[in-house]
Amino acid sequence: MTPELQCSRSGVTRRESPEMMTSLCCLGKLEPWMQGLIAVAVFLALVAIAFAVNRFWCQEEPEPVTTVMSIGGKSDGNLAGVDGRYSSMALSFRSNEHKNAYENENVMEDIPRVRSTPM
Amino acid sequence: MADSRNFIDNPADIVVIAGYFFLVIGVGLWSMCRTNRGTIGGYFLAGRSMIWWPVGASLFASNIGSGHFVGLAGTGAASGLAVAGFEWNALFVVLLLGWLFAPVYLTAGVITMPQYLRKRFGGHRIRLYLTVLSLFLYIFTKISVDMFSGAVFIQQALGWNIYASVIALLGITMIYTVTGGLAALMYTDTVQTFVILGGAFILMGYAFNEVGGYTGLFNKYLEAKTTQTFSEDPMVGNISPSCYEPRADSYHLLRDPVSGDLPWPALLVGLTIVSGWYWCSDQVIVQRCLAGKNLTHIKAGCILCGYLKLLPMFLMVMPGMISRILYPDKVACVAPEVCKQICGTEVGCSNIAYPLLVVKLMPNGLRGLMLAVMLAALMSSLASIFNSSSTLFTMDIYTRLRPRAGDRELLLVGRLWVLFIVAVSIAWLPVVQAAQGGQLFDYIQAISSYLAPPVSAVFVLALFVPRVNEPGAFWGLIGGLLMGLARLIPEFYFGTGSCVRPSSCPSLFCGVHYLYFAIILFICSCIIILTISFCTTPIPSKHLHRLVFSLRHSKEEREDLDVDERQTGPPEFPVQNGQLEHAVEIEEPSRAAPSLLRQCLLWFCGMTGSGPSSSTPPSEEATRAQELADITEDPHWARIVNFNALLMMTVAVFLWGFFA
Repeated sequence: MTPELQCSRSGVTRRESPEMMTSLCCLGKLEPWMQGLIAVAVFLALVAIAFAVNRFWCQEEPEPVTTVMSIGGKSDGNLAGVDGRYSSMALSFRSNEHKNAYENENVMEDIPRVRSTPM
Repeated sequence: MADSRNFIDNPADIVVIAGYFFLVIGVGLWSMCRTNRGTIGGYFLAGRSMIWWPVGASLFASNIGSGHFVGLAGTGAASGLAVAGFEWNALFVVLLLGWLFAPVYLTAGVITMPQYLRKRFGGHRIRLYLTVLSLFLYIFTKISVDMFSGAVFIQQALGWNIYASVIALLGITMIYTVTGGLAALMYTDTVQTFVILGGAFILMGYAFNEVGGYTGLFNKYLEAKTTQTFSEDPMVGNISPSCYEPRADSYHLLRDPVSGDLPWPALLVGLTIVSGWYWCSDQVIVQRCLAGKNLTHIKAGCILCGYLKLLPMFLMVMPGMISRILYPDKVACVAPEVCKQICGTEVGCSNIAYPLLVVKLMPNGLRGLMLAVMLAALMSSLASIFNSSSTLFTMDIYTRLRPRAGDRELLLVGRLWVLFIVAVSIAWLPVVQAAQGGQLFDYIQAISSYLAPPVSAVFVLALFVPRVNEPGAFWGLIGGLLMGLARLIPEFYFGTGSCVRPSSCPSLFCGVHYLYFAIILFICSCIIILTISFCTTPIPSKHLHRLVFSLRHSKEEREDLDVDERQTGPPEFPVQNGQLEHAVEIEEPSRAAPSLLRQCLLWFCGMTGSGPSSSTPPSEEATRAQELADITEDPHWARIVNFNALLMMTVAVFLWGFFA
């Protein structure tokens, strides 16, 4: 368990990652600011990993989110339907971001021989 | 100490102190006029209208008491840098408060922490237990330690009569605590923060100048030891060098896990648990957060507090070490009879490290400023504790005793409770003085590490594990309390001892480091809570919407478990009092209104504001409450705040690495 021993052994036989080596043995020999920078690097790496995991994890979510949204949209549509101002067709364009916003979807795409341009 | 009598007797010092008092009272009065103190929300939560910088400054000022100046500097003098880890650990935990805990407390719509547990679990026993435990901890750790260290300072620097000065101080604190409510408190806290930081920076400058700069400190500290190492007491005799030489690992934050005085796993994990109680589930701190305008302001306040928490290492710990270099015979005394002569205690005099610097180094005028700094630290933390304990008592005990008490009665009781707790503190002072230990900071931390971990376990599990239910939480708390007492009682019975005279406490009880013990206690409490919860029926999720972290954004209707006492919680319903005696009580002030003197008095005490929810109809109150429970954030600002939090953590991690 003595750190010095582990350090010398790993130095001879195989290269450990720099963080491993510093945490095991060579902490006393490093300059303080170097220790600080290493700590910051490790911390930022951890944050980046956490961020990536979060992103990845959140990308699986949209399925439940959209179902929830469409349920909300339906009830909205029913309410709106009482007003008589929204057709249920508008539901399929309704944006997730705001109840009065709509996606500008290209409905002409399916029809052949119609060229759609951005303008 | 004879030469330190009457240090503050020149006009410059007196002008500075007088100016300071006028400033504090002025700000207190100004904020009293500005804010509504006539309602529960106005008095206890500052109307939930505070923006980020008073929140952050108030968090810092309530946390930093005179105990920090004396305790951090003293422990720094005795054992080097590691004690700053306490502060640098807290700055991560304060972010947890802003990002994980505060949103849930906000959506729960509670004023006190026991009230939250009541909503979360139902039942009265948890609420009552937590209230009593909190009040107990306030009196026995926070109030007594702050008063004791304030007393050490006043004695060292001034030679004033301790009772007179403490009573005078408490009187001034009381004026704005009783009358102003939380808003006045938070604005004066902001002023106090400036005073604390300004004065501490000046002292730090003088101290580093005296010792030869940063390199001077690190070159000389390890040689700073007393020359009187022989005790005349035959029981002690020659003292071994390990007792009076500075520790070899003085310059390291992270110390050996077995032999170190603050082993690194304990500092990183055990301390986080204790800080988790202090910062995330204790009324004093959380109340300040709940006063924030919205979640973004609360988060920004937490970040500000985190940045400020970086400073104590340089403002307190390092000056403490410098004090040991400059006055080794006094600060680092080791022979019991010498210490007794220097500072009145046998176990060591490291507590006088900071006061000694003030007395010896500062010129006229600045000494007065430093006294103002200590008073600011003392008053801001005491006032916070007074206000929070009065909130706890009023909302959690008094409403239980008299469920139909009106707003006005509650506000009056809250103010009277402050008076009562001030009286208790003064009565407690002689005990504190008699039992003064060597290293103050360790004493506070030891008590909190034996009693707090079960509470943080319950809060963490309550927030993040919806499955936890009432019996689990309650028996977890009780089991944890018994374990904690099993350690606390032997340790106080045998005494903590010192290096020269070790304690005779058997190592079965006292052998484990107190922060390791906190980890063990936390894990045991969690096991008890989870086991019992899984063996009993769960709480249906219809009761839990917006009360646990995973359901914080839920929009479902919540069926409150505390529905039987709704009328005493948020002031939604006007008081409907059928009983004669109550009616008389409520009528009385308005009948006496014509008297001018009485009117002045009532205004001063903030009782003239709108009566029990008379200005706003209940429905309006309800919509307003709905708005306040809203935790959606402007994404733009949320991103800025998140980025700042990351930046702060990066800075903190760098400093941890630098001093590791």
